[in-house]
Amino acid sequence: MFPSSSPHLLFLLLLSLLSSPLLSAPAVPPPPPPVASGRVVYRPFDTSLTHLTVHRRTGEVFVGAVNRVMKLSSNLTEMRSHMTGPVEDNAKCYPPPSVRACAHRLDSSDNVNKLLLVDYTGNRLVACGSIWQGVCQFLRLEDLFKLGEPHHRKEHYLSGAREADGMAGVVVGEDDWAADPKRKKPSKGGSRLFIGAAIDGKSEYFPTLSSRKLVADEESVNMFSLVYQDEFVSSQIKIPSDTLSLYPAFDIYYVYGFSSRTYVYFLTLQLDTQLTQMDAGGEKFFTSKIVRMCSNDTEFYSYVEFPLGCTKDGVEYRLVQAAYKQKPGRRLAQALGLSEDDDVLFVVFSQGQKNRSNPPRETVLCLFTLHDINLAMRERIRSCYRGEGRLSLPWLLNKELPCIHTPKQIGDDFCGLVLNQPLGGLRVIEGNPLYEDRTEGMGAVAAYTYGEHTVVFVGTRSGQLKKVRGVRMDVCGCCWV
Amino acid sequence: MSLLSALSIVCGLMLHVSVNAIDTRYCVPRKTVPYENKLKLFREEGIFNYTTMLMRDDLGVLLLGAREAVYALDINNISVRKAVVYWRVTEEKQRECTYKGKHAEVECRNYIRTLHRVNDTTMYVCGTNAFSPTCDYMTFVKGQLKLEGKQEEGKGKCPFDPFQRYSSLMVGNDLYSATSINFLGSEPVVLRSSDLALRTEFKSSWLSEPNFVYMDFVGESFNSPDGDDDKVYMFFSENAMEYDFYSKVTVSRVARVCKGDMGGQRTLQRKWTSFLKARLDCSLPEPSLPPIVQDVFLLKDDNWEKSVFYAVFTPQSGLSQVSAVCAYSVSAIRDIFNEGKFKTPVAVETSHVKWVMYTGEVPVPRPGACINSVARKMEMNRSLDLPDKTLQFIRDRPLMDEAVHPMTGGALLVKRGALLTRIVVDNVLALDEQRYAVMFIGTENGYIQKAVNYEGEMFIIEEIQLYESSVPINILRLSSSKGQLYAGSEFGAIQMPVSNCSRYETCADCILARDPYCAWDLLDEYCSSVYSVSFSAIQSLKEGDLSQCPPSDPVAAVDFTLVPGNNIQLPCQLHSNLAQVVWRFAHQTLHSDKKYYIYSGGLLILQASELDAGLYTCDSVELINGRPYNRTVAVYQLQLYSDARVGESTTPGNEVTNSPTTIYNVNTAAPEPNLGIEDPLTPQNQSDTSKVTGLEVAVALLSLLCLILTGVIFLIWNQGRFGCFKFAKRPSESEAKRHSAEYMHIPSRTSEIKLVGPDSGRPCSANNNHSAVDFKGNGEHHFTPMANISSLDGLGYINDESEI
Repeated sequence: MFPSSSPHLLFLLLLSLLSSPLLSAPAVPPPPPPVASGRVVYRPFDTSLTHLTVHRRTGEVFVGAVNRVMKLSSNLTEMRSHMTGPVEDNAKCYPPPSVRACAHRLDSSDNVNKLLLVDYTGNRLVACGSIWQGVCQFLRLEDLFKLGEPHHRKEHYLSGAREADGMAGVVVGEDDWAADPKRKKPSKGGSRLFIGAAIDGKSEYFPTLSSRKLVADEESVNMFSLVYQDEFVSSQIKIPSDTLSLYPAFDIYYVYGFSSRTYVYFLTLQLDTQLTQMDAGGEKFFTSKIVRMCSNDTEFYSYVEFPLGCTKDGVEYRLVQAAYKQKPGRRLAQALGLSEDDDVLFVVFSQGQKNRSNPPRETVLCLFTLHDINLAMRERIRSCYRGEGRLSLPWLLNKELPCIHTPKQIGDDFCGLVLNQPLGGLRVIEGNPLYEDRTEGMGAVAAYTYGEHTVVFVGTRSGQLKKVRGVRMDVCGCCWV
Repeated sequence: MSLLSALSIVCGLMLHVSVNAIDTRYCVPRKTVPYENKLKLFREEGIFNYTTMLMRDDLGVLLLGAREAVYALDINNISVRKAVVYWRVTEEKQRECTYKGKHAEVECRNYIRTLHRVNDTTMYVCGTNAFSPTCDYMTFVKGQLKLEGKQEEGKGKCPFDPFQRYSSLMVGNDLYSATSINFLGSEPVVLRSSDLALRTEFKSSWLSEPNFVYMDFVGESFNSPDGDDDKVYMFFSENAMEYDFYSKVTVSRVARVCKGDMGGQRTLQRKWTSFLKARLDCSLPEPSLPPIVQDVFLLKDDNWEKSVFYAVFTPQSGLSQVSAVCAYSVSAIRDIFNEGKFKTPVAVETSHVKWVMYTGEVPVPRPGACINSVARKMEMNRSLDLPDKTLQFIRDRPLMDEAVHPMTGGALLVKRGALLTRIVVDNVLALDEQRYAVMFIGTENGYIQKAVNYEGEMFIIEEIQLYESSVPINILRLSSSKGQLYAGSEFGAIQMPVSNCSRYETCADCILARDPYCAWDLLDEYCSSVYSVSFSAIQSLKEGDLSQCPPSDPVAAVDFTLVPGNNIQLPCQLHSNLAQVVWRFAHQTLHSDKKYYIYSGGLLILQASELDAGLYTCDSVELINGRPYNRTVAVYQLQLYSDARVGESTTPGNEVTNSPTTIYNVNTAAPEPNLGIEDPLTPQNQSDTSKVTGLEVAVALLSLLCLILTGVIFLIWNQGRFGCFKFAKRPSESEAKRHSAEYMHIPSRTSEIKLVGPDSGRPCSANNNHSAVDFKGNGEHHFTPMANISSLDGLGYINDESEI
């Protein structure tokens, strides 16, 4: 599966990730390689890789894999390797057998890495796996020493789903304390982890989206506890059991998560409940959504969701495969009429709305600006506050609730009230198609700014890496490495 | 004059089409007690929505919650205010509320919705607080009401929406509440606020857009052979899941939870493990969608198995005007929950899920059961110990297969007209040592219906108008010990004694009232309360048997002067809405025709001649328990006026001589039922014989009315204002019409009901509405019986038409 003849180079590591059947997470490129012609390949021989993340200052590479988490130097020399599995487990055991004896037979189970994040505040890696209902390990960045693996409380179980590519997380609030000179150290729960996870039908156990505390002490009972919770309101969204009764296969796969300004965003793939017949036998249709919340929203009143897609030559591409948020280079910013501080989003879609697990090879790379996305959302909120239409979020509400007219003025910083939420967008937010690949199928994307240029890398399913330089949107100037 | 007589005939004809139809399936109150301001009323200027009550017999007060105020009223006389505390919304709250799109002066206020006893001096009180429900503790010490200012979160305990139905109950220190937990009102919950809070699963198979109306506690653990737990029962309506209709159908439900429930360990964590629900059936005489439960009252018995839930139902469709009361035994409901089969969802191709009877194996311990001996034997002492299998079963199947049926198989009461809203029931020990359940039922137009069901016979003793204006009764409370009823509405609270026996002046009146509270004291010759009568009192509730009554005084004949050519009105007011009037003259029964017009207030003799002189008797014929009971109400002796000064206007009322000339005894023979009598159901429309008004006005009114009526009904003759006169000139034709109409409607009552349409609720609605309202309402329909009656009543004093 891995190209064996090439010299070792980081890009090919990316490539190997792309070609892994478990992969879909975006790859982050390091600073430009010192040797432009040189290639480095890191090739483990006993596992398949699922996620990687690059330390934003040191350039060190952390790789999540099946039963392993590795730390590589920026030139892909393996520095550390930490075993995470296999573990005696049974997916039916809730709570996991480590907490209470379980009636089901335990088997040696692979621990598939589902989420790999660097918690810069805590100077640790958060590596969440598939065993024990989805517990996470905290690993010291220097040596991958296991600082803790909280697993005694239900908040510690993120999701028992085994698929590697249904979970995404965003850490927010970690810089708040640093920016505030009055605070000497991060307050307890100062950092928060927004986490979206496919739940494999277990809505009683796992929220699909939640905001959790990321505390300093890895063994603290507060680790991963919901940022806010009272009897009726909490920082989480569960898939209603009514939705699962109607569509037993319903789930939300979180493909990518990021923060931008005061918001947190997720790109998801989920069952299209309008197109899919209710009975289990029929063909399933999927749709991609972009979800936005205020990062300081503890009650999830700011939840807005819009369908996301791209159309090229009259053909619809609606299955999100990968995405990458980046600040545009000067040229791209100028072409888009944006400031260089405005984020843009590169998204790879597969054609059509079918076959989520084996998406068509016809893929397209598209560009969105956060400005347009936010504008669409603001207009949607404003129209709802004028009392127009309904909330239009069938999977979450299961009924049509009317928008309520109020005199409230909706500004850019509006983070929701108890009414007119959660809100679903009606029209698809369309991106600008940049590049199309109909033969190999793109599966990953990353971008960086080189001088005035914005360079986008895409990885294909067959293990190739392509470099796209999108300078002028009107021409779609693309060039190849 | 022929004009007037023709008018009466036309109108009488219309009466004929619609009267006579006292449908035995629908109950009519025997008496109507119109509004009188003797009732004790409490209201404060500027304060509205007196819709929450808590009786504190121990403190001697009735706590009354209204909009932004709580009052402590003297429980013996609620017009006496002992204390008040105001709880107003803050400006900030109100502003926030308006930002959420609510009306500042209506929705963004603090409506007190919850009042519960906490201890001897303390109450728990919650208000909607401008769509942000808030609770507080309130004390009543040294005659002062005081809010503690704790301002607890009221979400889940009290609705956001001041006008949304909800229910709550305090059991020990635990508050059970059934309401909506969010601003939108889209997330229903049955919640227990306690150290271990429990709630319902948010799932449409548990609760689907419910409307909660009532909850109460049943101490089933007492002497329970199988070690069962106490229960909280709740009543609501919700979207049906068991019916396969194109559109949404609402059904009524009873549900229950166990007091000792602690939720499940993994499955149903902090959720009820004992929430079970069943459909509540109460069939109406006409085929219809399931009726909707509006209110329930638990008539408690020392032995809980004999306790009975009384429930008021109203139609689902706005077209129908039929309300009903059904009763359900607690033990029957218990049996369905404890032993009945479950319903289970089945996925059906190309359609939604269907709910059918579950025939598979039911896990042990039984899903939804309280922790009882069976569970304890399996070493499960708390619901937390229940196995996942049991919990998953009940999480997915909270609905019982079997519906709960009323105790007697059918409704205890079915009534047309103004819809019933609230109910309380008193258990009255009558002289026959039997207990009778007397129902007090509030209506949407401010009346109380006082009703009993005597072994299957529906009987409304009386209806009492509590509010001068037509306002819905929103709350009813009963103090059995004080014999007082408390009612609340938007406009104020009213106190009413459960009975007013002194209203019945004669033994016959008293017995025929069949009021379990009242008995005729033979010694005192007084209708008094059963609680205070001597040994010589009599009562005949089921039979209405008068045989023990002493013979009543004969009715004295009243002398009346007959002026030939004049119209003569002989008043006769019946004692009962159920009675029919029979007029006799010279041993002949009179019918409404071109000569006589019989209406609710009496008899009109048109163009009297010398031949009309003689003895007239007005008998009331009332069917009591299927047997007719006849009594003479009035006797008149018409004598020719010797001085024949034609044109002199005299009022018969002035001519009545008080000296009786003839004595008649009460006649108990059963005459044939009179088909031609008019509507007996407008007692408030009493004609005044002493008044004479301008004839022109009367005739103008009458002809106008005639025009409208003929115009609407007999479209053929609708040729302008002369149609009436044209018609009037051909009495024979109208006579023929009358007969055919009679012929048409007698054989088939059901078809007649359909013909009358929405207005067929008249027998009851007529009583509850003012004639003015009737007039307006009826104007929209083709048949306008009430308009006829009231107008004729109004014109009944045209007894001298010499000027025409």
